[in-house]
Amino acid sequence: MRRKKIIDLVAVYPVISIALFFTVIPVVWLGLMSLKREVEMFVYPPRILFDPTVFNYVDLMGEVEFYKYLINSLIVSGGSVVLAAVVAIPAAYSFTRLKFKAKRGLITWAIIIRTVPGLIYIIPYFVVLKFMGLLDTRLGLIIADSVFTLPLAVWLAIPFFEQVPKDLLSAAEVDGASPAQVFLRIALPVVTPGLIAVFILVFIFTWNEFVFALILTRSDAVTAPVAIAYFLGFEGQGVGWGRISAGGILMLIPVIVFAIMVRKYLVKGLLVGAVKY
Amino acid sequence: MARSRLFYLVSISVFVGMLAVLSMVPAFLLFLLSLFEWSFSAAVSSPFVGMANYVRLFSDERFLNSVLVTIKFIVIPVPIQIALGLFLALLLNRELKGSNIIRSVFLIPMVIPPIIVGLCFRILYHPKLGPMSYYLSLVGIRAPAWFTHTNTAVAAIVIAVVWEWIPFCMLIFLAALESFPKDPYEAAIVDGASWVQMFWYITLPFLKPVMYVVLVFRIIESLAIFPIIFITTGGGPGSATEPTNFYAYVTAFQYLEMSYGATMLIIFFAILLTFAIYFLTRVTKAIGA
Repeated sequence: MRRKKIIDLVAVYPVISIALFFTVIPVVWLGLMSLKREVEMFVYPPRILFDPTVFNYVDLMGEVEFYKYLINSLIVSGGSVVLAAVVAIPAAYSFTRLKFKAKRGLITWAIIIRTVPGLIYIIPYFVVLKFMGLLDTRLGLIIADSVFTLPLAVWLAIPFFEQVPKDLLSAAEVDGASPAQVFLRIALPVVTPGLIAVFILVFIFTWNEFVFALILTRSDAVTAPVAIAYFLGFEGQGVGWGRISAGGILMLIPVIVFAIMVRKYLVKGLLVGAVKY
Repeated sequence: MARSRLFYLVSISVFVGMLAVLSMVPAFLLFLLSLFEWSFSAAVSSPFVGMANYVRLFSDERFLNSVLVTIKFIVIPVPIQIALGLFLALLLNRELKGSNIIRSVFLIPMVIPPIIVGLCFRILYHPKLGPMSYYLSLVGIRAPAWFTHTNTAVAAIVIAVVWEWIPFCMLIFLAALESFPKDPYEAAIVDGASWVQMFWYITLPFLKPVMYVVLVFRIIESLAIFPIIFITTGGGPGSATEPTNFYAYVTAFQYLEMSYGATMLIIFFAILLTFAIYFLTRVTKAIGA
């Protein structure tokens, strides 16, 4: 036992500390950048201690109107969560209640669709959405994203429904409740905590999504990641590195908070690319 | 009975129907596009060209290069991610103080938007904005102009994706390690086995199926590398860091050759699908659908 403690002290903790350092430094540096004035950014050697300012954040919201893109991102992510709740959750429940031959095949098929890189779908989506007049709309982007979020949500929700005691459900059915009633009144309340995790993962995924948003939006529906990519298009000269960094920090704060909340469920979700691809 | 099942059937049909429309129809349209010479500017006359786009593909050096780049971005970073992820998982698989906080911090690279990963590294590699060139100079290394040479540009992207995906490998290995039975280890200790022997003869064989799963998912997801390239090198210098899907994007949406871009994606799709169907049916069986 003492030997283990000594090993921990001389080897394990130092190595973990180094790993942690390299894990956080890119993000911490981004945070520092977001608090620096333009003149201080280009000082050589780079300063770790400096007089911090929030002007980058103020200007980003005021002059650059970054809040517009954040709102677009919020609506697209929120809409995707609603769509997942309405379409994927009842489907996941039904998959656990029905026994049929093609079930495993169907679920695998859905996962394969989820695993295919977005670019495969993007040319047809672009063409079809253009003809439907849905290009550069948030609705168009929500529909496109659902090719990933629906299978993701079904895959994540099935295990939660499987844990609901079968007796509980069949007892309600014997009492004359219809399947829809059993689903809404009995099954849903039991799995609510798990479903919140599912929705958070859907939210993170769509919040992070880049490829669809890049190609399917132009100006009105541009989401925050695409806006940051556009800012960077000119070596940061248009918007300025400080403001871009501030935008980056604003984007990653909700993701990190959410991810820590659902850490328990992440492993299963990760296997189908829950957070990004 | 038939009436009572209606709810289940409708729920599943809506889901399957939506997914079919969103995936099969595009796949079919993509294939159709690849047989024509179609673009928005020439929407009126779009002649059927048969396999001409496919023939063109195999004499297109930029395409062949892009396949090579795609392979590079799998073969180089994935083994590093798996090795370092396993190493960290082994370190964390013991009772440590603050292990919840440590694990939460390790989540960061994996969950943040890929575009922000690109942004972070673009700043880190920047000769003035980033700390890298200064601190490397302190130990006598002159930092390269990362994005201007083939090898350093590839290395820059490999470093970024390794950073991004180590936590993924680590988390999955850790979940596996924690589910292992303790008995074999206790028996091995009684028999006087060394740490290395235990790792080699007990841990590694146990980990084999998990390693397989991690490898499959890392390969599939590495094929989709895009945002990081978009934000750092843009495929350059030249087309040194341009994987196939990026070249397809440039072809379809910058050169507006939709049909030729579609052709590339069909080939890409065919390879991926063969791979995915073969492995994912095994994997979903292994982890239980």
